[in-house]
Amino acid sequence: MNPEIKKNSIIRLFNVSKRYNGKFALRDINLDIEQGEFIFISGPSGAGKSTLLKVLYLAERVSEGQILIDGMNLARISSSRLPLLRRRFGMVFQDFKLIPNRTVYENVALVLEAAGEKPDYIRKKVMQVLRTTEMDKKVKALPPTLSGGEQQRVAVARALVGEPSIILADEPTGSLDAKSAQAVLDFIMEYHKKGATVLIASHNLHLLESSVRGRNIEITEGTIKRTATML
Amino acid sequence: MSPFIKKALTDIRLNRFLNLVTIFTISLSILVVSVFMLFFENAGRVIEAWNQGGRAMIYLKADFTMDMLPELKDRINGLGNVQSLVFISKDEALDRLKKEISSSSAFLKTLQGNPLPDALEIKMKSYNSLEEVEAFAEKIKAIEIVEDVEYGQGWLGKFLKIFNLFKITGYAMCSLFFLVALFITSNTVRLAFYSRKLEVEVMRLVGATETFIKAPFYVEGLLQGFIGGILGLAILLITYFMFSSGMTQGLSSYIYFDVHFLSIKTIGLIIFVSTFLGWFGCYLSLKQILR
Repeated sequence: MNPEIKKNSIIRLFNVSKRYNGKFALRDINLDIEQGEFIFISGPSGAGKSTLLKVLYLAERVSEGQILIDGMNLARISSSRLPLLRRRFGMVFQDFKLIPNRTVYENVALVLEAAGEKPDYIRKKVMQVLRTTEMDKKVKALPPTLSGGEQQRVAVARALVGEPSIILADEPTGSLDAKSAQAVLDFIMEYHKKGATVLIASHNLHLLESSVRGRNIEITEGTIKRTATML
Repeated sequence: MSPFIKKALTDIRLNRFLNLVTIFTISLSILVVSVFMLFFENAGRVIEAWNQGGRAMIYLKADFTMDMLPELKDRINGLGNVQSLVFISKDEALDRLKKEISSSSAFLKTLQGNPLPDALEIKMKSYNSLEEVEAFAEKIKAIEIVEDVEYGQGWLGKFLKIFNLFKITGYAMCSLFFLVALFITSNTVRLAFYSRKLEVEVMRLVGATETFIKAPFYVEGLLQGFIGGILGLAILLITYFMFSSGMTQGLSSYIYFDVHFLSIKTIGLIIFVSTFLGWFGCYLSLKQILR
């Protein structure tokens, strides 16, 4: 069944399946996400939450089906245009994926350097986003010297600095204490209020339900089990 | 400073030991290549000097008379390859000999008469091989009044043989060390790449292009090659200064030239090759890894 086509759709999945060695990680997913929506992807470990995010930012190619991101058909994106697609996303991971021998500032600045921005703009923008995530006092620190919560705040700053239209977060609070997890969610929520589309994959439904208004898509064994609006 | 150069310098700083090993290996390879180049250049100068201003002496038979000279000169000039031809009479030759060795020499005192032959000093045009000189000398020898032709055939033949042997050895050694340096450089890049696997992964995730990802590796390779080349040449220069003066003095009885250091052109070429080596090693490695 095709999803209902909405006017402001930014992400659309048509019968998307992903197989690893013949085994389905995603099976026949149809999804339509509007611009500015907050999507919470829940489900048990191994349900396919991370795989769903991976096929969106093309870390994995789908086995079947099609994905449209802002009108771009991912099946037709060449490897040379892949960086342009990735710049539309801000990504946050459970394991932070910070470069250990680069400072906080350098980790965040990397996004803008890769996009070819000018040094003055990079300096201004990086400092601004680090102030937002309250990491501006530790610009010269190396990630391994920071706590988990601080590292994730740097990762969030890196995700936001390029002003992407979509935020993809894979278990962003998974390895954080409650206070840090709440802080990270707050930063993402603040950015969401500016109009960004946010997709968070997490098994921590309780934390999100208490702080987020959006749509919960529950995945089990690679298929969408149910969709519910969280108020 | 370009962000790529800045990044490459930071990477070199962070992976100091690995980079030092690579630079040292390149410099060692460049040193070996440079030693051969130094030999070739100096040997080439000797050969060139012989080619450009090669002289030969044509010794004439005892029954030579001055009225034969014009016809003899015409015949020799007719053979071609002659730049100048100067007649040295036996008396003039003896005078020269007397000037060169002390007049009080016992040899001269006991000398009865003039044993020296009349001769022609011939300055030859350039020759490409010893065989050509030999053929030319044979043609002169064929003239009835000519007793002998002397052109340094003994030492020249030996010198050319040694030179050619060194040339073959040099090519083999240079190729071998080039391959070793290439292998080490590409391996260093490979190790550097794996040590920065997370960094490359993150770069890709944030939308960096392949050029943005690869450029620092290439700059690093170029810098390694360039620094390695300079270091190799610097070691050679120091060694040259330490040994050249003593060697020239020692050989002054046998050779008529100074040992020169490499020409600016060759230095430039060596640095270029070395820098290229760094880049090529990086290219091979990245091509394999990022396939």
